[in-house]
Amino acid sequence: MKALSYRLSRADLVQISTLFFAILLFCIMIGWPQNTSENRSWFILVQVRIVTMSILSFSYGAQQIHNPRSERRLTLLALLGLIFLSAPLEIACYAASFPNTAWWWAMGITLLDTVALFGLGAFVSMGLHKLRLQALLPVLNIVFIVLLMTLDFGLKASLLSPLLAVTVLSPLHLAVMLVLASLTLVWINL
Amino acid sequence: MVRSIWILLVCLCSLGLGQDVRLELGFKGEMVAEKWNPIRLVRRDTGPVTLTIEMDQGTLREGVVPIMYQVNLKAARGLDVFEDDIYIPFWRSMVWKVADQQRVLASGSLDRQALRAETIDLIISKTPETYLALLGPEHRIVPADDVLPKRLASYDGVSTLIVDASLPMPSLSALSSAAAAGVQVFYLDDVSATYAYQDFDLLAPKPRQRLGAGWLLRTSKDGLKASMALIPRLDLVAMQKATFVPQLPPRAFPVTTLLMVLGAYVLFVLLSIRLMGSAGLVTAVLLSVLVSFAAWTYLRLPAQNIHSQTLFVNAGQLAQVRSIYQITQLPSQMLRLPFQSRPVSTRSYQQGEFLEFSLGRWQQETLQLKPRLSTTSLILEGNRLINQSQGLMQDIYVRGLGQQPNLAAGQSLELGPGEESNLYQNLLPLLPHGTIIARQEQSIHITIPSDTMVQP
Repeated sequence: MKALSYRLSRADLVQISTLFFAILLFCIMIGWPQNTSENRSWFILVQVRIVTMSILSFSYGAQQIHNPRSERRLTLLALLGLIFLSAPLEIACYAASFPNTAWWWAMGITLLDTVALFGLGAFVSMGLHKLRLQALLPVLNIVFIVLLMTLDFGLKASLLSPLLAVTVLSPLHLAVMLVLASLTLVWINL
Repeated sequence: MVRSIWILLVCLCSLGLGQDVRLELGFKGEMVAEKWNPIRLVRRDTGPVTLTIEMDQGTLREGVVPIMYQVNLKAARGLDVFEDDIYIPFWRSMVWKVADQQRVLASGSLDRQALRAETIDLIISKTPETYLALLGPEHRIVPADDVLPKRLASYDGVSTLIVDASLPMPSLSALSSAAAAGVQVFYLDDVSATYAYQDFDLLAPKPRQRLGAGWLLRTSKDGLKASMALIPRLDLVAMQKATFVPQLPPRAFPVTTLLMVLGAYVLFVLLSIRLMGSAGLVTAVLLSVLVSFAAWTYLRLPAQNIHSQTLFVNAGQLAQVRSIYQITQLPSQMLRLPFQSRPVSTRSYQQGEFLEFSLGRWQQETLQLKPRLSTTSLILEGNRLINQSQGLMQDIYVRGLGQQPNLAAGQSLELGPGEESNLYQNLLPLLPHGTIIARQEQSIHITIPSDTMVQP
């Protein structure tokens, strides 16, 4: 707990967390209805949340390949902690929006995708290092996430993209992410 | 030879050809579109069956919009008659079948040409064709049996019922239901009577009186057409529209307050993590649980809201009751409602003992319940108004006199001049002079003096 709190309190994560919460509050501000119209705030917030966490976890995973095991674990736990601490915002929107999706699916898939993409970021980073293209990493973070989404749109299936999967139950996406998450957990313990 | 015949008979019976299944929709097959119509299924010696009527009320643009009416019926030993009412919209196709678990016992389809919007004039007479000449081709005359339905909704599409004592008198219940439904019930007392209609005097002691939303009248055959034109009719659909105030979906929690609370939470979490170490993290975690719980409690609106409005049209001892339910559904759900009604919008649904249809997220639907019969809750005796219901009548207004005091249950009051009010300004133009309007919770009670002839 002490190590985790120290990791969370470091400047990089505090700044990232502040930006993350600011984005979520902005989503609520623009998505929340002013009158009696339909409340769609949850759909906006949950998709922004999962895409932001995906980019963050991919980026952080890519940076962890030369770090010790403890640092990798703490960073991943810190990201999962950020998801947990932002849960009240999602729950507030879920309570008011009445989406068809079960609440546990959106929360669970956000956690799972974060773990999976953390490992995927690390694997991509290892590949780029081998090709001596690690300078492209800061740009490729976002490009890679967009690529995953484009692939899913092209395949008309929810396989890799967190954006589609968070609002609609997708066993295919769950299976793929479970495999990636398992590999991630193996890697961070190596 | 005899043995062969016996074997053949047994085979035929086992095929069900000994069974008799007949379905009648409307009055003698005549239906009125956009109204409730009676259905009558007569069976003899059948096992448990299911009656299914399927209609497609879609258009070329909308595609198929199916409606299904389905009821399960118990086994019939001997003759069994099942009667009910079904709302019939303008349909593109209509098919029906009566089937048991193994096979279809009877089925059929209806010609689109048979569906018309004009209301029906029912004639109970040995010579119904004479009325066609008398009333003219603009009337949709349907000869009927003396055995009429006793349910008020069956007469939703009927404008006139004429009896002339050449056939046995229909039951008093049927005549009462017809009148209460808004039908002008005429008894022609100058036609040479084969049957005595003494009981009609019990129901209609005067030549003209209102009952519910309709009339019970005596006239001559020659004076029939003139009487039909003279007797004022109530526009019940317009009255219901005038009294129903749709409710908007629930208002969301104020966004400014929400952002302030969540913003304070975020600030506290960030500061406690940054400055308070592990104690700060634990506090942040506990606070997130608390805020989540509070958010769910205060922001969760009721999943379903039903807003209802009931209209009682009283005259004499009976009333017609018309109810509207507006359902606001926040999560999408398949609804199964335990009352006979129909959705006002064009959508797919199933009716029968229950009404079943699907409503999406944040959708509203208005349901019109099947009109029904009731006893009068607010009676006018001379100039005295009597509250026969169980609750307080308030906002009492008499057209021509003005506002009256509230009336408690079981009490009566003498009507007198009162202040003018614009409480029922949408309704007054539809009602005759002397009509009394009162409100009781979600109901509007309209009592019309039983023999007023003045047009609204």
